[in-house]
Amino acid sequence: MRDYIALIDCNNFYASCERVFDPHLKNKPVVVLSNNDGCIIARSNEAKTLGIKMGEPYFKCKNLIKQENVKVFSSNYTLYADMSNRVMNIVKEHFVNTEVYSIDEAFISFPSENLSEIENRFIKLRDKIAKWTGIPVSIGVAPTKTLAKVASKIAKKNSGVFSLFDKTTRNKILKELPIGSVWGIGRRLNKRFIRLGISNAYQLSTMDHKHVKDLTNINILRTAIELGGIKCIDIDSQPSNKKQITTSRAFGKTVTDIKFLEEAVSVYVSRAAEKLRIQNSKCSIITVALSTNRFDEKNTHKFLFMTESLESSTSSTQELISIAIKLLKRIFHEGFMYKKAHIFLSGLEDSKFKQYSFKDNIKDIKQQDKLMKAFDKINKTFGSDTMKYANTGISRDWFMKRERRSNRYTTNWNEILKINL
Amino acid sequence: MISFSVDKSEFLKHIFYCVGVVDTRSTMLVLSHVFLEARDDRVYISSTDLESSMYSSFPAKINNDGSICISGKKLFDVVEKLPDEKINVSLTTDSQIEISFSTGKTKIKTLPGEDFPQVPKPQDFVYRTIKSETLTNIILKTAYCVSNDEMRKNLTGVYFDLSQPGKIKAISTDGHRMSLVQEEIENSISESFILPKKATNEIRKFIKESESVKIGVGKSFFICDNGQTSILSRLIDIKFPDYTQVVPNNTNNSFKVNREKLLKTLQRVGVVLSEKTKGAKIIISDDKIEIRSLSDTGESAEVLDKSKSTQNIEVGFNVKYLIDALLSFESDEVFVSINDEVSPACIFSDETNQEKQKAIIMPMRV
Repeated sequence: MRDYIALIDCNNFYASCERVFDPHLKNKPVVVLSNNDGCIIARSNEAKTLGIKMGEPYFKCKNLIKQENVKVFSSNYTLYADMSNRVMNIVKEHFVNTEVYSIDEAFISFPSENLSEIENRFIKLRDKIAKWTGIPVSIGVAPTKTLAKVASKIAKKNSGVFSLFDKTTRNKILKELPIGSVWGIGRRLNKRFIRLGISNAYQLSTMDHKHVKDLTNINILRTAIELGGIKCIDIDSQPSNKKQITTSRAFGKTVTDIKFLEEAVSVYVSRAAEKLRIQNSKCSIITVALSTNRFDEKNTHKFLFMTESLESSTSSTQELISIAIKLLKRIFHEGFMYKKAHIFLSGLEDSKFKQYSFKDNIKDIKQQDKLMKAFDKINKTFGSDTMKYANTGISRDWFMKRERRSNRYTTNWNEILKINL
Repeated sequence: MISFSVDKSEFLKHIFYCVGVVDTRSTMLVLSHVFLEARDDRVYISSTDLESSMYSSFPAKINNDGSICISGKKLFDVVEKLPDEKINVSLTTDSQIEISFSTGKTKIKTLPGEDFPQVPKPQDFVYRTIKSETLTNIILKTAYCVSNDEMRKNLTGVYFDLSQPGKIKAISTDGHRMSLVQEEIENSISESFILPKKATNEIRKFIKESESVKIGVGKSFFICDNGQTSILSRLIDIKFPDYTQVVPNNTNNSFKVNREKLLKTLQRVGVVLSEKTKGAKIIISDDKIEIRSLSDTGESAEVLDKSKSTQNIEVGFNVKYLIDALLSFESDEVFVSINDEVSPACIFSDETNQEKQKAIIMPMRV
């Protein structure tokens, strides 16, 4: 029995999440904006047809949006993460060997003998996901991950499920697929291949392996072999922990007051520490950075940062906030217009194997770990920020703009969907 | 133009002393070079990274006086591979150094001798003499604990404490483990300093040549001289943490164990561990120690005899830390003291004179 790969890809995911809770938006153009309502980061098919481009600054297409009555949403990552979890859980129920590749994509590996049955199986899965979550998905099935990516693109334009097993069909499709659309081929590599006369995926798949490796690297060679139908990239169902955790956000407006910066840094540290605990890690290096607006033509761009190596690794929000504020005070310069704060946590080690240092009071650390566990449990059960440190502020006037954010229907009791009968 | 003849092995030895100091990463190309000077029937060779400087000299047949800078690594690689015989070193007209031997010659590009930075040698040193064996012993027993964390600079060297008359104490720590050594020395001046790790490594190379060496400490600098070779190093000018606070006062609950057997056991048990899971569980009972390790790749367990002790303790330790500590001891048996699960382990070789050598290791969560 041979193993095959399928890619489950949610269609226009953020826009689809917004539509689930507002059925009036069906067949109407919808766009979702990035943090601080800056750029377009998701578009429904109708919005794409209107010519709204991915990554386009919102202010540039404001007129078109108004004219065409496009519904605009600020990003609501809490809702998207929860909806993603629901989709992924359905997939995992059906397939053990699943790799959640991104918020809206999952690869699955499955054994099958009967190729004709595969499409029916995935049509059922597509319908189940749509029925249970309201999210439309496209599914591409193929012998390799790279080909599954190609198949899912075709599935999007067709019925939603497409399999790519037949060699003749595969070659025909690859001949029509521009080289830049192949998974793993970036902008620079695309230009390089085109200069060399390699313009479509089929040409890459038939190239001499040594030549591909000499021209590029081992990863692109894998891609080329995978396009030929030979599996090189396996499913990673247990992705390894991150080696660095970053929380970096722009403020809703420029900030000059250190009080607000202290709040912002405390909020970002709280988020980073939470991520640290989710992957069961402790960090031993913390970096705090502040930056001014790089698009400000009047003032030179500033990026100020400071790093501290901790005597003992920690995942305690309280401890990390106090170190971060100390670093912030050292880098802060009166008079600069700050636009962004960044927190980087590195030197990560597994909490289960914490090496104590001479500075540690082991009993206190165990106590602090229990406290953080309870803290996270409360926030998970009752919603993010139910419990927070006072340093993180109450009004958070500096916080990023999300003027058009929809409710967090699935994670916050106060924002649950109300139906008027 | 510099020209001399010398015995290959003698030349190589002195290049070896100096090559460890050259700085290959510096933007100043000359810092990756050694400085060679021929005069007064001797060849003088030196190197510097502007923090540490090494000076060495040896007798040679000087055909022509002169000086030149040559890539330290290149020179070492070339001379190391030459046959054991007399070699001739001379500067050619195209500014290359020519090393000729019985069956051939090699030419290496050079920089002018004037390009070599002259590091001023402070004159305010107060010298004392120490046996080479004693200093080697101190360095060997403390080097393994020195931290590599450049952000905690005061831990990146060995702390020498000469505050007690007639004694020299050396302490190193990386924050998780500590090594303390005490030796006798003829000394009447009270002082303390942190010597960078690089300097301690380089000192070890050349001090075995003589029975004793002179060490001197001046303002911000340290010097170690055996008459033929010397090193001048800038000291780490930051306060060393108060190490006395972490040294356990109570070692009553200690037991005696065969060092070699414990070491071998730890080495065997450690095989299944990975970079991620470095810890093993140590279970101490009446007259046995059980060591257990578990990781994604496998598991291992071993039981070892020890002298009787009263407390039953189960505690985790980084196996590598225990191995490093045991390797630094020479005695057949060591004493291990672990008071409880949240206190550091203390290893020492002499029950009556625990200060002679001590290793302190913090536990690990396993």
